[in-house]
Amino acid sequence: MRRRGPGSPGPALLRQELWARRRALARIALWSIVESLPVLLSGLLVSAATDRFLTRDVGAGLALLALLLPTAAAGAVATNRLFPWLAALVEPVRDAFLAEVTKGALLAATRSTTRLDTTSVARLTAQVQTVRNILFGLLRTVRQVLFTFVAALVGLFLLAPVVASATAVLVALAFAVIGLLVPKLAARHRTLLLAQEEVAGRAGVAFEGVRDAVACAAQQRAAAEVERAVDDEATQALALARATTLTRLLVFVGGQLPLLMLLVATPGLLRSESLTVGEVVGAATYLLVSLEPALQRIVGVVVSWALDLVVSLRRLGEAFAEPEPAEPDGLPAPDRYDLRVEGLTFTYGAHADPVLDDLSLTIDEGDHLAVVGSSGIGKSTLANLLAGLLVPCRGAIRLGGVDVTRLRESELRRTLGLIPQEAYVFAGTLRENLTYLAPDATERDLVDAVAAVGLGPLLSRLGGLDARVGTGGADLSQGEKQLVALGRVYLSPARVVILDEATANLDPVAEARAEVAFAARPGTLVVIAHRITSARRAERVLLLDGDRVHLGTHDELVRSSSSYAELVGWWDAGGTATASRLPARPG
Amino acid sequence: MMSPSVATDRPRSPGVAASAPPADVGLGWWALVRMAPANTVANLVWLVLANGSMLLLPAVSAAAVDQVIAGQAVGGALAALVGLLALRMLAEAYGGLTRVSAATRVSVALRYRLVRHVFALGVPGARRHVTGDLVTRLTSNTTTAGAAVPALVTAAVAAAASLGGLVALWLIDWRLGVAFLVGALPATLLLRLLMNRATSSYAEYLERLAAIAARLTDALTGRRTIRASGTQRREMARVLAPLPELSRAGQETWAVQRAVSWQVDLLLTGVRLVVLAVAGLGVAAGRLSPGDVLAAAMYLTSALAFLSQVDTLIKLSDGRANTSRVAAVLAERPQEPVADAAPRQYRALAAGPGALSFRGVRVRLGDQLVLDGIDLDVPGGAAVALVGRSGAGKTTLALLAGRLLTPDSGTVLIDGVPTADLHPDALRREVSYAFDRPVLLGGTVREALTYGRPETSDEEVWRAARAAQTVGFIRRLPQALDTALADAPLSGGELQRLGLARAVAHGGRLLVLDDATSSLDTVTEAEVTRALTEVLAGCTRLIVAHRAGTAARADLVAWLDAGRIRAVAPHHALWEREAAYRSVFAADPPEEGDR
Repeated sequence: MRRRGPGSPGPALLRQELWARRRALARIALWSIVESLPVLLSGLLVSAATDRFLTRDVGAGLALLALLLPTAAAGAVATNRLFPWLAALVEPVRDAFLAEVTKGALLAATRSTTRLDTTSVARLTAQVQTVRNILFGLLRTVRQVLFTFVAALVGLFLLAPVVASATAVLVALAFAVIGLLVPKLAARHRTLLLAQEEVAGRAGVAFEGVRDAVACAAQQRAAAEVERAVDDEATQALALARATTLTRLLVFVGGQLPLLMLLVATPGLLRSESLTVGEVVGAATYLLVSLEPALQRIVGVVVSWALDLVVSLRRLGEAFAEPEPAEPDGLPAPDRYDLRVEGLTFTYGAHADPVLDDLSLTIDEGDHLAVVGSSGIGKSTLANLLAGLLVPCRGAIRLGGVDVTRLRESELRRTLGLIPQEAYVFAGTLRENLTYLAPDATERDLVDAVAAVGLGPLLSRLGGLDARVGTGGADLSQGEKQLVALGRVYLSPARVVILDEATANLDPVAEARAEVAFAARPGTLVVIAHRITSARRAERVLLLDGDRVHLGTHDELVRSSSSYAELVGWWDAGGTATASRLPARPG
Repeated sequence: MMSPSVATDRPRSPGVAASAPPADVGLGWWALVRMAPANTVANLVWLVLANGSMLLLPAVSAAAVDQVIAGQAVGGALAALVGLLALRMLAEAYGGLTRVSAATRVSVALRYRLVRHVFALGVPGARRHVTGDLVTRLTSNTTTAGAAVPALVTAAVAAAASLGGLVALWLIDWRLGVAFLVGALPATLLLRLLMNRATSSYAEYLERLAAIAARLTDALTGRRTIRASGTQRREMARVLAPLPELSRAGQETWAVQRAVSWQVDLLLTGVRLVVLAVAGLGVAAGRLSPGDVLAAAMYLTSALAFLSQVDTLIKLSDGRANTSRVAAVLAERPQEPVADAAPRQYRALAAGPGALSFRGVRVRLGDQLVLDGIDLDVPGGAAVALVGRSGAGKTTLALLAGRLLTPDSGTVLIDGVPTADLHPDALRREVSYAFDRPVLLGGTVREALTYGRPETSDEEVWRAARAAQTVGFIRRLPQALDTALADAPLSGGELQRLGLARAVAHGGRLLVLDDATSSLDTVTEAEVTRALTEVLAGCTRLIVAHRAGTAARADLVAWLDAGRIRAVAPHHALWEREAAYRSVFAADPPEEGDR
């Protein structure tokens, strides 16, 4: 577990990473000093050479200037040595941020049940890239500018201490004022970033819904909503630009005022012989050629980059995972696989009607239960509760007598398999996808699983287990993805399997085969039914019907519950022929 | 079982847009500049002032230094210097401000055009593009395109200033000019060489970064599986697997930078040294004053500034590349001219039962004939199901009714009036749609349900919700109708029912259900159909059906096969007569790629 300092997690991670690489930082500082030697010496040598040239001592003048060459060579060597250290600093920092953000996004997504926003991925990678680019820029350009600045100031000090002192005071004054402005600028910067995200978010929904907007004759409204966000971003961008302008004016104080002071003071300084003519030229060179342009860059670039960095770091920090509480040392998994639901109640919000209200039932080990009921009645919520993905508001679910929320997380996940309707297939081989939950599966197990859930045709179409599947299972149909997800859990060690409409995109025959295969597998099976035929195959049926709950065999329910009878009747009125030809439960 | 072609015939592949020939919609430099003429000119003026004062500064400083050294009265020279410095400061400040305002204005103009065009392209356009790609074009591409306009101004002014610096060196002493050119030429060539290497290594780096993003998107889509399997940690490792390669590509970019930096630094010092030596010799020979040495050093910096314009040049070429990505979308032609852009006479639609007719309708998508001569009459007030295998043309036919798609030939008539003669908005007020995967627009559930008709009363909203069997679901949300969509946990079925409720609230004489109940279980679907029949008594319904039960509940079935009508008859009649009809329901489950 990482330890982080106080404050926002983003900047804290940066501090921590930099501290861990302080050796690299020290090397960078050392080589930067060497690298800035040419600047340090330039004014001194120019001033000395000018004095020689003025006294017609050409040889000495040229020799002094020629001294610039070895210093430049030393500078070049330093630059050359410097870069590997820069890379050794920036790349690992980027890696650390990418890892943290990935972790945060994964954990947040797997915890939440609300609408998934995959555009956040683009935003997060872009921000990680921003951090990397800014660090790159800061270390490459700004570091050089800063060291140039300091070197020029030191050189000036050696040449003309009076001028240098005055300059240092003015520069410090300018920086102090900029420092005062920074918090306000940072706030503006953050507002702009949020406005940019708003544009992307709105456009994402609007473009996804072009068909819907046109069908509603509301394309003007949809476009206007995006345009409002665009206008807002533009307003914020201009406001930030205006606020930044103020900092540029401060260049005058730190960069140009010293020169004016030098020129005003020169007659006196020359008369008192505190400075030679060459020294005046050298001092002016430091101020005009090195200091002032460096200050321009520091104010023009550094301030905005630093703000970018801080704001991006903070935003990224918000995407980090919450520090995980040390996993409570839960109870070990029991060796029985019956599920007992006791007085289960669940509500999504304080003002909402309960989705499940005081539900009790027992699912024996080896049982095959189908859950039916209209969509939105709470079937998926029940599946999530049974799998321990949601915590009941009241009541409990016991697996082999143990409350699932108190089981050791890793063991619960191994014991229990849930297949949602939206099948997960990732980029990799079919074999990798299938052995995802059973890394030790043998070839024999794989062949059995493939046959059991009916993956044969897919395998022969793609060319075997080692065929690659693209990102998001792009080359598979929805039904084929569901078959892969079914095969994966079939292979897994799970002894309680919940199919949450996991066969919705299969045709009725394929659905029957998959369900029969799972029923024959050792352990407990719960099927959230998409079609009523799933209920016919089950040993028992749970009908969720608003505030009432009916539990029994298919035949019992047909007799005892009018709504179940109606439900079966609806099906029979439509597709009797298909339904009656389907294989019934074995045995 | 599942036909492999299904996955590939989906037209929304990014490749389509990418492989289209580069479009020319007149988005050259001039067109971009014209989007913000005043700001661009202001930017130009301020930059010229800033660079002009930069060019005068060495001469004025040198004069001041020389006068000071010579012990002359310096008031005039100092006053000129103060004025120049003040002017420069002001020009720099306003230059920065106008840079942002010009860039912003251009990108806003591009964004407005793009957003409107995407909606003008309508459904055919949406089928060609991937949403994420369009969002990138709208956000980052327009931003970079906008920034290119002031970058162009900067490049032009900076080039002139560099040239000015060179001329000034020449004027001080022609030998200085020659010395500069001798050193600067090889530096330029070296820099060009290194730039090419830098660009290619950075492109590789970005590719690796995109690979990680793609893996993360994958994992987020499968979040429920990952959570249920407790494999979060393994997923992290899987997503970050390309990290070492990313690092390696990153290291490569540093290696290039390293080469650029030390070689260029060394060369520049060489140039500086040669020029200063020539200036020193000039002082010794009495040709130049001490002030001239200072001026030479400063002009040297100005003249060398063009080397640091590499960044600006990259911005320019980036700007072109990004502009053409925006232009490519703008160049796509809408299927019909935007209604309000070209004023024309539209016919009014008199009251009627909502009879829908297709006469010789043909639709071609790409090189495929999707509908091949459809003649079909949907009687007013009837419920007609469209049945057929995946790819038979059901969705395409459904889209024609509300003119979300226009036929290549043939006519679609509503109550006897060709839909092409009606204002699209007037037509769509009479035709409402519910889709397989609706996209809910607006901020809250209420806004989503009344999107096309914000004036709808709450009473009507609840009536529509009741018809779509979604009252209970909405009541269970934290804030009922006022719940933000982002906070509503929606399953596929719940989403579909909200989409249905939206269509019912929209109203009109024709309701098109494009597989709009596919995610509902059979019970709910039956309930919804019954409720819709009650609420929408007298309203014509066109229903794309994948389930036998759905088809059975319709008055008539139009059986589509390979883009043609194979039969029109009640479901039970077809079911008993035709084995091929029965097999439609036994085979493919609903597919995303259906049209």
